[in-house]
Amino acid sequence: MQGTVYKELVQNRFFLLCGLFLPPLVYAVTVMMGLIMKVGAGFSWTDFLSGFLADGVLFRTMILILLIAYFGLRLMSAGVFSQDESKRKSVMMAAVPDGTARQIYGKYVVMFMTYALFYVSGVFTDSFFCWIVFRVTGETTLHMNSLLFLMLFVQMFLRSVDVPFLVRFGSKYGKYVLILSYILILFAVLLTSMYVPAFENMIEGIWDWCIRLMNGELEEEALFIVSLLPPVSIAAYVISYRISCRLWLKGVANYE
Amino acid sequence: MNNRSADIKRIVIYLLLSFSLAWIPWIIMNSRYDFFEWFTGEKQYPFLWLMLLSGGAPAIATFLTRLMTKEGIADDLLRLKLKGHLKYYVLAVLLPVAVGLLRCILIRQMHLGEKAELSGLQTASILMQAITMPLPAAFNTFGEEYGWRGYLYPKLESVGNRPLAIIAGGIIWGLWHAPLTVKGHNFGTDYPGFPYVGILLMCGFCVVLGIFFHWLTQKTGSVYPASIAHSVTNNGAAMLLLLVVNADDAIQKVPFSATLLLFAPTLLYLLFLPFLMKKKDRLSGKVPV
Repeated sequence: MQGTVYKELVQNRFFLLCGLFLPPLVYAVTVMMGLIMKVGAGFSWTDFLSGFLADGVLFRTMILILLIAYFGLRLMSAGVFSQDESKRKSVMMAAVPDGTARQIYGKYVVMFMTYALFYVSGVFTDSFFCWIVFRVTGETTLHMNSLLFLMLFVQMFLRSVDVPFLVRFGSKYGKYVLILSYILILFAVLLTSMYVPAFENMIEGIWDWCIRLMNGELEEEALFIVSLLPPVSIAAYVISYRISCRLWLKGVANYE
Repeated sequence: MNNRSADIKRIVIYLLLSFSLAWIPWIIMNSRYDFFEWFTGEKQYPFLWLMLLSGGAPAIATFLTRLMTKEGIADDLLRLKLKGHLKYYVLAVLLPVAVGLLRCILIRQMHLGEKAELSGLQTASILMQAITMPLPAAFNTFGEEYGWRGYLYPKLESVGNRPLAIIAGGIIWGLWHAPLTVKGHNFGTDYPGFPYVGILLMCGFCVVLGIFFHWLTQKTGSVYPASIAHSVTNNGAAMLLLLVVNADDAIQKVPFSATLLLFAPTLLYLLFLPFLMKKKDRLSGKVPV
């Protein structure tokens, strides 16, 4: 017998492939965008790739697209739950010994695998791209290893908060809540950018923090908080799994 | 062809593949760049993708060998096996950290390098990072563990016995690192008998480490705890050095005798040998239950 993790891997192969291929796609899109903007008279690869060094415009664009891909991935993985939301299937699964735990365990494993693949693929792509820039310009770009590392654990933490809600109220409502929260955040950012004069400074501050993180130049306190994140996220993920196990059958009652 | 000769054939194919897939890029890189530049230096990151690929050579070799010899993947030890084995996962993280801390105590006792001046917060950060940072980096060491502990060791056990798997497997694993050892990996270049003594020591080191990693794989029936332990040994222990010395490279400048002494805490893993020899479970080329 292959088990529930196998079932989840087969069912959610699209998400796993997304985790694997999104980072190279992000880099490819950024390079394409840069090429469209820059190709013309006097184009040189050295100048073009220098745009990916820390102070280059393309570097910022790349991080922005990477963040969009990251949040996109978060939205997509809500679909991990939607595939099994059938009352008959779920009740049958609950009747099997350890069925509830196995069902939820498979989902948590596959979600973690998606984010882990995003991280691995991100580090690999970033390093490869860094190598190309190094070969052409002779300089090393800021590498995103630390940022991707942070993103992995932030993702785990956020998931550990919203998965129990998805399990209890169903992925349909959960997805709406997630999309709504993104729209609200977008509106909040838009309004802040229009009415708060210090908005640009705030953005610069965040950018500066990211650069210092990538350079390994964070202050003592910030570094401590960053290093606290992995154990906290792992613990939260485990606790979230336990809570989801308890809530699952209540959620099943709402299925059709 | 009987099982034994089929396994010998598989071992030969596996070794040819895993050595060539790793050695060719390493030798090319060593000839084109300075080892300390591409492998450990500030410019290491642009070459990380290559290190990930070549470090994953044993995993690629395992996959190709299974494919070429039509072996299938029934006993590939790829399941997490978290249930009932969580303690081994915890041990995989904590024991290498404890060994790293012992090494730090030795460094301070021997007054090596410039002493680090750290605040309480910095010390806590380093400790936390040493435990957690290697976890995502375990995908790198997974490539090795999937090949060595997940394939070679069980195959050696099935053609011989467990002591053969531990000794021969460890020596092969140590030899696999040879292109890096001859350029100064782990022991530097300034020691008597360079580079042969270094290769020999690396083999011994790998035999000892292999005991613990193989024990973890045996106990759990999964290669992930060993991958985590390997990652913590490689990355976490190096990070712990920052607790006692000011710079990462301070340890590389110590006399060879001191370097040898610093490897002494690794001998703690020998304690797992009796447990490993006690009973023959799960592996030996059999499908894990």
